[in-house]
Amino acid sequence: MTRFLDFWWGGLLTGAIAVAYPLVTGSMLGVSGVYDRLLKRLRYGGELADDARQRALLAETLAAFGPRAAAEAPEAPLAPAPAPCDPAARLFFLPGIVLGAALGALVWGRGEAWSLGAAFVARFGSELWRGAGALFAAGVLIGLGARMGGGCTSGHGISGVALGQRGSLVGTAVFWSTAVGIARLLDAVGR
Amino acid sequence: MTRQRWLHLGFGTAFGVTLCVTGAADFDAMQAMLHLRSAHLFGLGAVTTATAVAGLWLLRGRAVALATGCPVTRAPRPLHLGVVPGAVLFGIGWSISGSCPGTALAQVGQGHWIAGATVLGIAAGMAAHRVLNERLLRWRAPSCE
Repeated sequence: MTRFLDFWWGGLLTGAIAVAYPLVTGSMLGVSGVYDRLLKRLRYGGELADDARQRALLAETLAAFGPRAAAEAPEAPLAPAPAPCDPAARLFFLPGIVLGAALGALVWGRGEAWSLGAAFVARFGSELWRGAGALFAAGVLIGLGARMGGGCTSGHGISGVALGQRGSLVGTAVFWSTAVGIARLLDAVGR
Repeated sequence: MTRQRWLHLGFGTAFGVTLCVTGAADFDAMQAMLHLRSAHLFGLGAVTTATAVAGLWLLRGRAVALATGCPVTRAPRPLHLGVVPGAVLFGIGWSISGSCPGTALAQVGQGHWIAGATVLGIAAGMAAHRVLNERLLRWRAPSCE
């Protein structure tokens, strides 16, 4: 893997982003939640319905019962989001990833448009419909699994594990071991 | 375009560059890891997690973000009914596509237009989860926030 940044430097860089992101913006690193936010926004439009409802409920609860009420609801944020916080700002993380990878490709070279490389062709052949169909089906499983499990490789695997969250520790162990097992199974079937 | 939006765009850009230069968005590198032929991405994950553990521990007392004034969100990720089946489905999809929600976008950015199929699939899977959960499962599954 010499064509990539050494894993020590790469890990330090990625870890630094996972720490700097909440320090600067207040949001933990996690990608699938932003997809979910985007889908909600496309579905409902304007202010996110869930966020607005949650904020209104929390404000009323705190007004009626005081700060202890928030402590008794461990899944609720400790305080309503202050007015200057832009609920749509997080959505800009997604085009940022595309832009960043495009900048990286200027240095590391552009990828093939209709393939993901030699291992991809070896697995799915060179027909576009087979490769794209497999990726779409795999994407459905990723989206379904990320929402069902409450996280993905960044939210569970980096932020959640780093914070010692039990759901993230179990989820990460399960999806890594499943992915390794499936890769070996696909190899065995393919032989 | 507000300052907060620029900040999120900037961090997304930095994350996209990182996914690209570390090999995390590379299908061949991912398959080499999943087939236990290369320790590169395992090492990357381990160093990333160790750095994040140390950094987030140092930030544990901070309630408000430096640049935005927004509260630092530490949404709990409890062990609930959906964690194991969700992680199994996620692991199958991850193994087949060699990508996750972030790296699929990075692959598109690198010029792999075919990875757009993964991105569309992820969106379809999330929409399917909404219907499935509302009508059948009714599990409380916090998002990746």
